[in-house]
Amino acid sequence: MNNRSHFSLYRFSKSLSQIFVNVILLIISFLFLLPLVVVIAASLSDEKALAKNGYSLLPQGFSLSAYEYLLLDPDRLLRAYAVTIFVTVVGTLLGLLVMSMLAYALSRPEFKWRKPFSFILIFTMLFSAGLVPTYLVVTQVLHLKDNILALILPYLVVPWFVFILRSFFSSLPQEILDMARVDGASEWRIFFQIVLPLSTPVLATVGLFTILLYWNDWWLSLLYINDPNLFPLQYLLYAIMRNAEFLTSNASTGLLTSVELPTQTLRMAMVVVAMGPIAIVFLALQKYFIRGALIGSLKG
Amino acid sequence: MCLPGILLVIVFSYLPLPGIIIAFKNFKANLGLWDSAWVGFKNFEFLFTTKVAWRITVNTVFLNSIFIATSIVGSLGLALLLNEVRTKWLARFYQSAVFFPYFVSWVVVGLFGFALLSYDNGLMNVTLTRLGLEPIDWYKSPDLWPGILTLTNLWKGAGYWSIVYLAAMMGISPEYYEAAELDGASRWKQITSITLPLITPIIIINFLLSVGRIFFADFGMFYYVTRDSKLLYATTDVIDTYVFRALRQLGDFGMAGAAGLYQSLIGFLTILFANWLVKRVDPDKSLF
Amino acid sequence: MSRNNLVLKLVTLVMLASLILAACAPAATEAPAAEPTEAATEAPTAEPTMEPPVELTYTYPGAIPSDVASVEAALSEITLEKFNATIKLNPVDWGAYTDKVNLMVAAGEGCDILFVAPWMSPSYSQLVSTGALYPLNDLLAGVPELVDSMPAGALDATAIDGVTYGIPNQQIWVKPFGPMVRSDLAEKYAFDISTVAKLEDLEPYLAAVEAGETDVYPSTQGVFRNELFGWDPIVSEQAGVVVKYDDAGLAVINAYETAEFAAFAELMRKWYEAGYFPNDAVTEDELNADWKAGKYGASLLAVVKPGLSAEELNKRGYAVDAQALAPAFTTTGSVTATMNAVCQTSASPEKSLAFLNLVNTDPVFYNILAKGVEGKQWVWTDEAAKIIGDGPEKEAYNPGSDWMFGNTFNAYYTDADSAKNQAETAAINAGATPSVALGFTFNPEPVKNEIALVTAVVAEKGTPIFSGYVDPATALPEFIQALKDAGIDKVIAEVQAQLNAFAGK
Repeated sequence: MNNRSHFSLYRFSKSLSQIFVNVILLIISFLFLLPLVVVIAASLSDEKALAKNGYSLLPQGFSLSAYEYLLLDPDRLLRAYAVTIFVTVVGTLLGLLVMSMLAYALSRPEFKWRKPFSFILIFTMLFSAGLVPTYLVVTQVLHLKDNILALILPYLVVPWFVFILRSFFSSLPQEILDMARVDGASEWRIFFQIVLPLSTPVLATVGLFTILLYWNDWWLSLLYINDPNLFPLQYLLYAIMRNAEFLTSNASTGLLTSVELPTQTLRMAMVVVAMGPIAIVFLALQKYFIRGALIGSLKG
Repeated sequence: MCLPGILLVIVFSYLPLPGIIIAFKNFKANLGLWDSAWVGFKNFEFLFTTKVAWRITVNTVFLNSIFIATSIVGSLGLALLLNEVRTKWLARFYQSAVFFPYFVSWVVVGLFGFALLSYDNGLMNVTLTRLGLEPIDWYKSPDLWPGILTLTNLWKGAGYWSIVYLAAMMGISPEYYEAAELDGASRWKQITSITLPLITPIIIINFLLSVGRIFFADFGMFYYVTRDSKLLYATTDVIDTYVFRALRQLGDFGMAGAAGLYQSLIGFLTILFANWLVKRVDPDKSLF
Repeated sequence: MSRNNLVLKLVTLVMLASLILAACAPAATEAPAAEPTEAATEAPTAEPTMEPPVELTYTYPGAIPSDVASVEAALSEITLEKFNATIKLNPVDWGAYTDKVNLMVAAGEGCDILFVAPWMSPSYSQLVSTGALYPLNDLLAGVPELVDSMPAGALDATAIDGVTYGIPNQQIWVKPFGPMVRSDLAEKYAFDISTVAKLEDLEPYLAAVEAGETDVYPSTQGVFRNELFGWDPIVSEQAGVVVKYDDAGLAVINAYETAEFAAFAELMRKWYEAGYFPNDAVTEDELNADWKAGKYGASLLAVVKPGLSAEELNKRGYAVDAQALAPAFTTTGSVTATMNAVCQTSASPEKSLAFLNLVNTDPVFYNILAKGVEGKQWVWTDEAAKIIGDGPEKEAYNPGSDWMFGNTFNAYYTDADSAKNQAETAAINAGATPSVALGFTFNPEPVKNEIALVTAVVAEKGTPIFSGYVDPATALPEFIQALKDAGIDKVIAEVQAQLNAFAGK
């Protein structure tokens, strides 16, 4: 009897805490989502109404003109999508491979160069030669100007991510690895057949971060790509936005009134267009960071 | 095994490094990097011979410190909360919601902020007047902005970083929790004695790496969210925005390089110090 | 692979890489190879030359149009025939322009012709001082039509230390700043802008709009323009180091220390407190969006050029009345406001200059570049009067920046009025007084740091004063003191010295 009442009390407090948790998260989600709703509403609004009344939760004077403008040149947009998708997929897969190999090596205590290499990585995070020297290396030493590799290679190793991976690998139970080694398995086999499968959450995490890194990048294309056929999505959108910003900051008055400036609604539409596919990817990868999916497999 | 990774790092990050001497040269394009005149520390002067130097440094460090602290606490808290949700579809919804701000560029955040904080018909002031209170001139009140920027930074990044912590939490064997439950430990106790200690390594890594960047500000946030409002500079002007403004006219690579070197150096010293501190407490958890 | 092996490999790699880098360090000039490109059209070139045509790349800022190829083809057709060259257009998005040009120059590659201006970053004088531009003095003899097409003194105005590096694009060379009011509101409140002789005279209109309209700001935010006061901005538009355009004594002064500026600051403050300006600063594109939505009644200092009202009606939806208040004078800055230059690393400077000759003297060539291809982007509506109308593919190539490409007086007219406007503009240019400092370009090298500091101070402490956000009684003295601390006096002294040397010779 004692046990039973203790148990039901426990269950009650559990559901109470569940309610508590859900309420807080609901409020937080609402606050976080508010701007998204406003952005979508603005992208569907009429420009004049928006300027007159400011932003709100509902579209004002419903209008698809911003999206029409974006789709005016569908070829360019589609090509940009293709470039971005290619770069992102290749970059992420390759990057994950390279980074996890590096991180694994760094996580093994018996690796002699562990400390120095870690230091090397950190050093690069802090010290950068800056724009001009890097540009010179990529274009003149590696001859990668207007080459799609220039969009992929620079981000293949992100020190921050490597350290996240390393930290995770370090926390894997050593016994499993030792047992495999005793059984005669090579380092590579251990890596591919034991370590990687055990690390799906962190691989999904770093994978997602890397996807985002490649997907959102416009900086590399600004530097190294002149051929419009190789422009990725974000660069196209960035270019449209930056045209307007530049014109706000320049000192020459009066000259530029003849140049057409993009509208507020257009900016909002661009956010939605750029975000769309990534949101889908995120939803797909989500199962790796949501409780309950993979705990079972870890035990095996 | 680590060869490809190290190779890439060498090529992309170390080969260009000798170019860092651009900070000490009066860079002229027609002379190239090696032949441009050496000017010693002259390029650094504009950073230091100004009353502003103190202000921008303090702002940068102070604000970044707050950001680091609140970010870690915030994303950790979020991760813990998310980890508790039992209903899967709800969990997915919450996580998507908090993750979304990461996608929004600072320019758009700035626009949205303006819709909130504009003096004439921003949402905040409209609400204030309706409640019978005085409207606040947001873009001219520097004292409010450390708080505003902290909230903004949290909003943008909490969802992103919470994923790392969640992934780490996923790696904790459920046996620990089951054992604790049998022992009668409350959920809260489970969190504090199992979850947190086991993900401490990743928290420390994030902390150390953030500290290394403490002299670098997120230019986008400081420039677009404040809308470059001059009267806010007292509390929101950081090294990056100052350098941007000062060099816009001149476009001088040497001076820009000097600023970057200054930031890198201090960040480097800071991370050395922080790493040393961590090593004293628990050598396993240090970065190097 | 054993550990030792690995280390050895790494070390060799690093050493190898360093060697490569040293070898590839940018040499002083690195002329890109003259590649024979696909001939622009199928038209057989009757050229007996044996050499392959040179490809000239023209780099300029602007949105990247969807159909660049047709324009390139049309241009190349002409240039192949005239001087055996093909043209490649390289439009760079505005926001990316600074970085891309700086990198192009630093790497010494891919540049033949470049759009330059004092207000761009990198500016004309910066590019000259980094040696990125090709000196044109000797080559000008080869293009007499170009030289003749320039009004007297125009080419000299671009000279730095006696050497010309850029070819100015002729357009309005005066900066006739003045207020501009919405015609519909002016009519409603019976306000005649021609009565405005100084800024203060605008007040009745502003007060009327403030009282009579609910959702309309009487004016856009307060701004400061040197030319309004007759000042020639020598260093930059913000720095405040100026010379009065008609001051024969060539006295260089600190604009912000003058009584006129103090009065101006007071006026801006008064109007801000009266509610004539919006409370928060808005960015340029927000301003445009708001103007189109009818939120403003006036713009304080617009460029009052011929045809303004029609352009405003077309672009932003409201006709305007405007009155120029600034005296009509030309400065180095205004004449060199838009120029094209030849790059130091050009494959062929002579042919690049020949290209510039065409854009400045040949209307057919210029209009292809500025307006697009006939039949696609535009069609003749009245060929005799040189008036054109929209073509079927207008949007595929519509830069809208005639002033970037060449002599705007050669542009075809979009309607009958624009013919009149061009004539008026030419008259304004002709009738303007040249500033006493015309032809002088300041070399900022000796006071680079001070300029950086001064610029930062003006951006921070000056802008709120321009817009009236702060009380000038306290803010102005602080501003002036901050300028002094930043070293503005040193800059003034340096400018004076250089200016005297320039005038002395």
